[in-house]
Amino acid sequence: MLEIKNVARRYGKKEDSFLALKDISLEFDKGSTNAVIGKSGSGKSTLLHIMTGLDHPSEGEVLFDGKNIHKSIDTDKWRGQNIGIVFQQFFLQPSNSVIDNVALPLKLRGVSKKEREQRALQALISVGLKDKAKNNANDLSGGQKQRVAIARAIIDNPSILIADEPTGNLDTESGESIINLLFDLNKSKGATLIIVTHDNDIAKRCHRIIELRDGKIVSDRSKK
Amino acid sequence: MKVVDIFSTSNQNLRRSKLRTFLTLLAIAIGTFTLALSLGLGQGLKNYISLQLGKYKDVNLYQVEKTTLSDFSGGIGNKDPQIYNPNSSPSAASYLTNFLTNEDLTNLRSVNGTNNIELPYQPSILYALAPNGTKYLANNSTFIPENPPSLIYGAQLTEADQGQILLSQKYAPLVGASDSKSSIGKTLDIFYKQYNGKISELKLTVKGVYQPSLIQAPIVIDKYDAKNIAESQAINSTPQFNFVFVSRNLNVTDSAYKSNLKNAKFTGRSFADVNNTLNSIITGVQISLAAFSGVAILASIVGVINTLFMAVLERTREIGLFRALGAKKGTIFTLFSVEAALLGFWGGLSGIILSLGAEQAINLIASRTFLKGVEGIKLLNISPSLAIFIILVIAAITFVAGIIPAIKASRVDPIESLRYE
Repeated sequence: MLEIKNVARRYGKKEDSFLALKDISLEFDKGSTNAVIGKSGSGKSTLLHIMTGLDHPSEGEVLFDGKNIHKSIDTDKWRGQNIGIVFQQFFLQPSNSVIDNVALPLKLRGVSKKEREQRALQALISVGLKDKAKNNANDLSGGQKQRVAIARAIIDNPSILIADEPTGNLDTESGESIINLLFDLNKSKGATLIIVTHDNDIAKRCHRIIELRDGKIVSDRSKK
Repeated sequence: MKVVDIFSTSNQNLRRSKLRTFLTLLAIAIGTFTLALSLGLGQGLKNYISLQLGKYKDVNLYQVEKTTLSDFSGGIGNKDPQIYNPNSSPSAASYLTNFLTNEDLTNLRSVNGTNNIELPYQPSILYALAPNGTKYLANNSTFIPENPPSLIYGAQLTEADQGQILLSQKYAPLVGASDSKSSIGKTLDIFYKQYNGKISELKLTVKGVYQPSLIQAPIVIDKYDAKNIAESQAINSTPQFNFVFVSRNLNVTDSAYKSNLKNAKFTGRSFADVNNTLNSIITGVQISLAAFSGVAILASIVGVINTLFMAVLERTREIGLFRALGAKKGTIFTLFSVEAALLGFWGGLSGIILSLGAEQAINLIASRTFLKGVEGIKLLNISPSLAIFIILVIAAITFVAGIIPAIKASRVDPIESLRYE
């Protein structure tokens, strides 16, 4: 599945460089739920960027089914087909309809309008927003927007679903609902769930908790 | 992305900042408008020249004159005195008195390729007296078989005709006819002054009526009478000619014949050359006008670049999102480039629509005012092919203008653009 081997990430020139990640090695099992926790500046986001292929490691490699995602394959295409990302800030296109927002990844990949609308509708059913399909994205509540973002992330049945502080912009009730939805999707779709969070309550719901501090893994605990 | 999605997305993006897009389109439309009008004006003039002179391109006729030094050597006061050379120096006023002698005509006949020489008699007619007593000016030329006018009614003149003329369609009143068709067979009464000062009258019968044209005199007199009048008006009854018309033997090519003329110290210009020269001049004017319009378009291009740079800045997050969702750099580049081309397309289309409206209005006003009575002229002529050509060129230019902003968009770092911590 997804394997991170001895990854380090250095920013700046050698003399005054900053090491954001140091010798990180991780392996994520298919269908597992994982939490990456740590304080601000611990390296969570850098790790997320590297394992989604948005950033390159300075050392080490990231393998997906044994292939180096940065060297052996088309990284953009791989990310589009295998990774679903949910951001803290939703990043919806406010002037577009809900269904158009959800269908965006398929549009970028050249899927026909008819097919992408059908699949977007299925994704919206999965997150309980079928009746909002034609609404403008801007007219939704925060919790609903995050559901739309989740529908967008799962539209192409990714094998890995990465949520970066998914409840950071939501009230407690909406946040709870979103986390429940992510775990439900993990069960129903079988996608590996990786949640980047600093909320211990969310982390405790995962099978595995990886804690980062100053760019290093300080603990990696799994539930039995 | 599918091509249709790229175009629809780019088009949709143009509507995001409506006022900014409108102002950019307005600038492009103004540039296109001026370009279309200037090219349309040139095309209109070209068409008019082509209509008037187009048939001459196939006329086998050369205007031949003696080759002279073209300057005013010895005739201009600010030059140093020139040494006389009988072989090369022209006379002090050669540009006035360089008539062809009998010897010259003999030489011209012997030039390889010379078929027939026509002497261009220019009878000077005082006036034509209409049956109602009105005296009209009677500009005229001599009938030349190689270049007959385009007849509408009646029959063409021949070499053997005497006492006959061809009349322009508009000159029916001179023979007291109610319309041009009924002027056939009627008599034109002309008066001319002989060299000795005596005024003579000559009655000529209308044999044919022709389409008026820019360069054809309104009365064409048969060769016999034109020669007689010209001789009566010349010193010693011998008209002199600065040039003659020559038809070429078609076995000799145009360039070979001109070369032969040159070797015999003659200069020959075909009617086609005149047509080409006029077209070249108009093309030159057209290009100059288009260059001025180019300045307006250049200004609008700066607007396009500015608009796109602002769009890149405003949509940095969206670009980052697209990249995070799997879009390649090339897709981002294409989206912005197409957006630039669409700005050019819509702006160009608007400018063309405006210019087509202006074309109708200006042509209508011109035909009712300063071009009233000028046959066959359409001052502005923006043809469908010209309109499409202009729109495509503007779209291509804005596409090129959008390349740098599009490259900037494609290089947006998704990590930076999606950062929110």
